[in-house]
This record gives sequence, C-alpha cells and structure tokens, in this order.
Amino acid sequence: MSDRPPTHLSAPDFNDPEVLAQLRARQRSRALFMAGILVALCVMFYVITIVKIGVWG
Amino acid sequence: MTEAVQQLDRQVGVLPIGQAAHMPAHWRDFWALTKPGVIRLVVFTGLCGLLAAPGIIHPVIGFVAILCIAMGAGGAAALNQYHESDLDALMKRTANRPIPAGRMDREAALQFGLALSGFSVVIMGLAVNWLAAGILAFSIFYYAVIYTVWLKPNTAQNIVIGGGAGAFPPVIGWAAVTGDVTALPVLLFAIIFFWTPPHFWALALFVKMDYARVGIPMMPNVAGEKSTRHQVFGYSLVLLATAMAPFALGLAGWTYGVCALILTGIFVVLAARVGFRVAGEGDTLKPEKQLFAYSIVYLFMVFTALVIDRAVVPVIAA
Repeated sequence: MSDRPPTHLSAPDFNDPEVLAQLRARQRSRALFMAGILVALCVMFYVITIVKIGVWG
Repeated sequence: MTEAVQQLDRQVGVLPIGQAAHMPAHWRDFWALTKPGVIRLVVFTGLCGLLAAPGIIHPVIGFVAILCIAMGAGGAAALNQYHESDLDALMKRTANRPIPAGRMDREAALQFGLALSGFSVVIMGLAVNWLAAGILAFSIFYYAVIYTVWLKPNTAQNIVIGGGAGAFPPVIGWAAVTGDVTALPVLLFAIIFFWTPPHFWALALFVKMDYARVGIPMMPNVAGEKSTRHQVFGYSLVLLATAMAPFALGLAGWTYGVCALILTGIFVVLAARVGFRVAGEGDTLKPEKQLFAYSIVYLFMVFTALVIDRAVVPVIAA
C-alpha cells in the first residue's frame, strides 16, 4: 500500500475556529475584490456608452 | 503521511496541497497568475503602438483598448500557468507561483484565464474595433496554445517562433486607432520578434539547469552554449537592421533614428561580449546578466523614442 494518503485526508478541519476564521476572512476579501471589479466594469461600460453615443465628442 | 511526502506532493503538484488548496485562493494569487511583470511591458508597447499611430482616438476608448490588451495578456498568462503547473513546480524560478505552491487549484486558474481572455476580446470588439479584437484573440491563442502547448515542449526554436506572441501589442494598439495595419506596426512587431531570442537566451544561459531539469528544450541545452552565444550575437545584428528600418523607410524621423542607432549599438556590443566568450566553471555570467537587464531597458527606450518622434516632435515643430 502506498504511503500517499487520499487527497481528502489533507483537507483542513473547518470545525477549528482558527481555520474557519481564516476561511471567512479569505471569502470576505475575495467578495470585496469581486464587488470592486463589478463596480469598475459598470462604470466602464457606462462611460463607453456615453462616449459612443457622442456626448463626450 | 510523512512531511517528506507532503513536501514531494507539493513540489510535483500532485495533490491540491494540504489546507491551502482547499481554501479559496486569495485575490493576490489571481493577480500573480497574470504575470504582472510581463504585463507592464505588454501594456507599454501596446500604448506606444497606440500613441505612434496616425489619427485620434478618444482617451476613454484608448484606455479601454490598453486595458483589454492587459486583460488579454493576463488571461493568456493564467492559461500558460494552468498548463505548465507541473513543470513550474520543478523550477526554482517558478516554484512559488500560485498553483505549484499550492495556493490555488488548476481549475480555478483555467476558469480565470478563459474568463479574462474572453472578456478582453469581447470588450475590445464592442468598444474599440473588431480588427484589434481579432488580433488580440489571435495573440492569446498564439501564446496559450501555439507557444505553451506546442512549441515550448517540442523545439529549441520555441522562443524564436513564440516571440511572436509578445510582439502583437503594438500592432493591436495601432489597429485600435486606425482600424488597419500598415508597415510601421509590422516593423514594431519585428523589433520585438527579433529582440526576443537574445533577451531570452541571455536568461537561459544563466538558468539553463532549471530548464534542463524539466526537459524544456531551450537552445543552450539543445544546441550547446557556443552555438547559443553565436545566435545571440546574430539576432542582435538582425535587431539592429530591424530597429533602423522605420528610419530608413522614412516612417520615423531623426529623433528615432539617432536613438535607435545608439541604443541598438549598445545592445550589439553587449551581445558581442556574450557571443564570443567561453564561460568556465564557477563563472558568474555577468555579461549575460547585463545583456538580459539591458534588453528590458532597451525595449522601453526604443519604443519611447518612437513615440517622441511621431507624437511629440511634430507637435513641438508645429
């Protein structure tokens, strides 16, 4: 038998409050980053539209 | 499982690496996946193509064009790292990238790369023009598939032909303004194309053991150091002829001509120092490192000279 364990054995223990806090912090930072990207895209599409319809020359 | 096995798994990228890979990747790792250092050069050359082109583009549309070039380059880089994660794990220079270091799983990198590439092409097409979008799409395909999947693992000419992938940005920038491709953007493409082999082979000469270990056929490992050094010098002469062509053909003025002659002359001298020396055991390879460092500065300066010549000098003269 190989001494290499199945992959799932290396999964973190999400019952551990420290691991859970780390997971939440990572999810929060990603969510905020994604929100920033989406807002930037909305602004960009709005500005492109304004330029294309000729409001800004 | 022993620590050693965990370490090995990490090195060869077999497992999604312990806790880190089961955690969502940090946004900084997605940023790292885009190879920001390479993007700087791509954005710069794209911007120079855009500024050197005749005609006017609205600043917002110009900004969107450059953003799309950056996003396309980032997407292609992510797809490259998705494909090469197992090799990256074995090379010191690349082992700390997000996938081989176990901070991100490969599927996330693939999805990110495809999304970024797709977005960049569609936005370029809708906001700028479809010629620029088409060239952008082809450049992404060229880098992510033709170079990464086909050329790099199979031929020592990978860098020569693959250099085309990094040469497209000024053509895209030009096409974004004019909607067509004429002689000057083709020459800008050629400058980057012939700059790439001496630039990369100077690097390959001092990291050749890394490439040899993972079986990538880089020129020093296939043709030998002596031949590679001669080719570095040979390509620098071709670069000299190419860099002078815009001036010789009347597409650029004296400002560019003088700058290109001096800058490329220095490049040729540094390439000659690399081309005609024999490095012994324990050599620090200083001339190779100098050529590599100068080659990056060179590209920035030659393109800056072109923009000054075509966009700034006429304004001052008027």
